[in-house]
Amino acid sequence: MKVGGVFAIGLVLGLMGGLIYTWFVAPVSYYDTYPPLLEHRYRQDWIHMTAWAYGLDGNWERTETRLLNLPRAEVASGAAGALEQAAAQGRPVEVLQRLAELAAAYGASGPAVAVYTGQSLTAESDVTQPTSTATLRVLPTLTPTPSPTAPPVITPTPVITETAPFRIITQTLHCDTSPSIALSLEISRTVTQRGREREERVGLPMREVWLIWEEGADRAITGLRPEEGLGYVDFAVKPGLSYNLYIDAPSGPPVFVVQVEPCPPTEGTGWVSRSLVVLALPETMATSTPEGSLIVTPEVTTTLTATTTLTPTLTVSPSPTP
Amino acid sequence: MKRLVGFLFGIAAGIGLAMLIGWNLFPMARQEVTPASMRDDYQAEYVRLVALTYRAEGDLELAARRLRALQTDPYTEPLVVLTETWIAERRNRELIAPLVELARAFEVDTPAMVAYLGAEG
Repeated sequence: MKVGGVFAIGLVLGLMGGLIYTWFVAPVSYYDTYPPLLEHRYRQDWIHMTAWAYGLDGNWERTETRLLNLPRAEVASGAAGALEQAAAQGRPVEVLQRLAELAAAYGASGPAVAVYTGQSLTAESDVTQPTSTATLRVLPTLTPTPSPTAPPVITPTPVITETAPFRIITQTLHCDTSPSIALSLEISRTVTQRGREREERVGLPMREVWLIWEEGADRAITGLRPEEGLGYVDFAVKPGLSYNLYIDAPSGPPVFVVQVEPCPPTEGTGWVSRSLVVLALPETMATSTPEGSLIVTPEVTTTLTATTTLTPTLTVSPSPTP
Repeated sequence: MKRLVGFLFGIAAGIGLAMLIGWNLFPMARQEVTPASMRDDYQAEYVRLVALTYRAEGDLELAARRLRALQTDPYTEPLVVLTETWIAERRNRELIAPLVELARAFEVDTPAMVAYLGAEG
């Protein structure tokens, strides 16, 4: 056998033996590593904890050291996540500001980051064109009904105490073992589409919503869960407690006062959870009584117009339920 | 003689190639890089972060899971060791307090830690 053939046999044997050794006897092991080398989930956790630590102690130099050589996108994402968590927990503003500062420094953006870093916000309330009345126009079919009755659309609930410029327009109750209060803050505006004016409601992001009860307070920012709506926010509440809900600042008369009550026996067991739709409206749409409670005076005008020989026009002005 | 030298060279080359393949190019069943593989000073920092985050989140189960990633038995050992080391070194109370709080929550606090309970962080 020639030398080349012997070399080839040696190479194959060495390769086989070497692979057995490197793969099974002494596989790769890591030691003395540092955070950037960690598996993704551990790296994410490291970033998350570092963000929280910065939120609590504000030590920027140490934070930068902890985050050295970590991917900026991962840090931005982790810090933004910690910020949302902190905001949902109602953490002090300085903690939220630090977390936002950290997230922004690594390139994160979003409503929460914008709010707490003091960046300019595009609040929709600045660009909306609120309607001046609640006039509802209905263009029906060609056969008019002689005596149509238009059901009132707005039925204020007596237990709701409201203050301008917010009005609860819908309240949905349901039974839940873990009661909650969900709120969607919206504004009404008129848009013109194909020459016709149409009213639409859009969520208002980046507004503070406060829930105050006897022993504590919670705060949340609307729009941090955009999948639920731009003006959405929710709170977990405890059975039996009374809560005051404020928008923007926890002062003055509350927008909403509620006690978490048990469900009626016919509805099942659990506690009443509420989903509110709150409309931010111009002060001209609400008048306050001396006691501060609101009298809602919706002007609901239903106009039926037919294009036959008869052209009756019906105006219905229902009185609000007291 | 030439054939023997050629054979030995072949084996050496094969082993070298196997090391390149087995340890660098295609390592078998790549080991998960966990916090347990970090350098000691990073592991101490990790324990500190776990304690600080527990103070913020209040989730003891999550803190336990994080400490378990250090793969010690018991999993609270790094926490106790670091806390007692820093107490012995008379480190800042603000550094030690979160560690002591977490040790207390795990019920592994020691007499040396008692003085730090309730210390403001």
